[in-house]
Amino acid sequence: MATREAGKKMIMLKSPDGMEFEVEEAVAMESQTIRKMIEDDCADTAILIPNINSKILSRVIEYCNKHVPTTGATGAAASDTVAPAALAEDLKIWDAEFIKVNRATRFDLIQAASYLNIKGLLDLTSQTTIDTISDNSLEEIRSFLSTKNDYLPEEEQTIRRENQWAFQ
Amino acid sequence: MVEYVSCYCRVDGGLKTVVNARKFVPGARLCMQSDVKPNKRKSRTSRKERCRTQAPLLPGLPDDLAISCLMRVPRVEHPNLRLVGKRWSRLLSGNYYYSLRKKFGMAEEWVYVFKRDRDQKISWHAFDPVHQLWKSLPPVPPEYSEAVGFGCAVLSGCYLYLFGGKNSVRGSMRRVVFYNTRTNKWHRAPDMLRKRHFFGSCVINNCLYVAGGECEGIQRTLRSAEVYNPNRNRWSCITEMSIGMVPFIGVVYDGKWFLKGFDSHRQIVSEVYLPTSNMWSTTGNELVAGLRNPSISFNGRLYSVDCRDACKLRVYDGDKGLWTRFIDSRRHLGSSRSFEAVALVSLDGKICVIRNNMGITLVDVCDPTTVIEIDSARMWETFARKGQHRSFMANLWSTIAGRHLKTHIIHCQVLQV
Repeated sequence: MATREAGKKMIMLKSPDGMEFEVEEAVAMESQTIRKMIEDDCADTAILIPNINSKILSRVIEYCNKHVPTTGATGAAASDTVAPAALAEDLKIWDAEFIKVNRATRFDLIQAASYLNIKGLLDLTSQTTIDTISDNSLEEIRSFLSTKNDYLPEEEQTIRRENQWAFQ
Repeated sequence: MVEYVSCYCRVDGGLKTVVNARKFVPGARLCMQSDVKPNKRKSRTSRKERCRTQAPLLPGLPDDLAISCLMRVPRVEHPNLRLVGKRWSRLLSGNYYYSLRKKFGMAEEWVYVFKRDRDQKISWHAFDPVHQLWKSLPPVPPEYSEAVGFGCAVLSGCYLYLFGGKNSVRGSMRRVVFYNTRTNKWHRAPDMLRKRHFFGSCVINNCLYVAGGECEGIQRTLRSAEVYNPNRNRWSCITEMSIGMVPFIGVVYDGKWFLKGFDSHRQIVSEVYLPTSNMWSTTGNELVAGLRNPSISFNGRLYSVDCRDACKLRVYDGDKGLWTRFIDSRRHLGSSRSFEAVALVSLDGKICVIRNNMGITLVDVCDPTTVIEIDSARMWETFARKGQHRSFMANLWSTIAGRHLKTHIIHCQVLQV
């Protein structure tokens, strides 16, 4: 904690497959889980992040790096800083590019965001999953989500009949 | 601060951001890292056990995270989701999904409009203000398809009740039916204790109150009143009014129910009901005298239209006991029946004005200069023209008859899912 006053304290994050990532404390603290550990003095040397492999962890760090507030990053209230509109727009474009990943990676990111408690990343990944549901036909939704249709034809017919008022 | 359904870690609940707090607690005692792993493993195995019997909602994601994704699906897509598979249908029929949507601010409010068409038939439609779409709904139960003088209310935010009224087959009715927004279906509820039509109704503390009205075969107007508690699923009598009344306006303000109507001699009378003491009393104050249809109790204040098309609104000043001018949008639409404001409802934190032509205007009471016109009347025209429920002859007739006489709105409500 000695270097904290310098404002650039570094934190070591370790993935279970042995990779180590050195990040600024402010970046790591985008994760509420890590923030809690740091604030409770549990993280003097390095933090092991279980269940998140190095590939996903590096993407998460990439996200946090981009989203860490640029001004007043030393204070605890830094995350409350409201970004100007232009910066927000820039972030939005960056997010859209960032989330162009395959489905398995996105699901891994959802799990990582949930474990590390990074609200922005969880919102982004979940919403992207949901956006693919809208504006698609039922068969496309099923194939996209790779869920199986477990209805018997007559059962499906019944539900369609119940739904018919909603589809008009 | 929004909290998330977290599958691994429940340690971040009471997060403290007081910077210097750690100086006063020994680090080891509050170390969360050692707690994280056992918690995580435990919840993981139990989830695995649960999931072994059924396919996951989204293959590749634990169900709790899948649900936290799925709760973001807009309401307009819900019928589609139900068709994806049985587990999805079960999820969308249960309370859990909707309680999550409400908790995380994803619940959407739609406006529901009941109208009487030229052929005296009752039809109803929903308007989705986000996607700006009119939606068809399952037809009202047959006993209400041509009924008059029935009540309409919303309980628990997502159940819409129709009750009482009369039709040509049954005469006055005790009947109560409700529509469940979550399942898009109609159901029966316990009958009222007595038959009545053209009565007054209101909702206080999620209980439905009805009072007065008429009953076929009885000459005088009714004094009786009753209450329905959805938790007990039962109607019970409350104190009778001191005078029989056919109410034409009613509003809940300051925990009391104000009712104004005609007595048996067509004289205007008013009464006020206090639910906490189950007492009626007569009232002649300025609130009742100045009350006009439509009106609304919104965020503890009482608003009423001051112009037929609701371009002006008044608000009741409880301290002074006076009605005062609230807004004048200076956009007078005209005094024709189609522009007449028929209801004020609360939508998305704003007062929503609904007109006979299916037009909708939103008024932000915090910033009354902001009046948002939704072009729902024109959308309605398009929707109704496309709708299969209108025959060729009906279309022809409407072309000949022109645009007036089209709809007569009788009830408006807002339902949240």
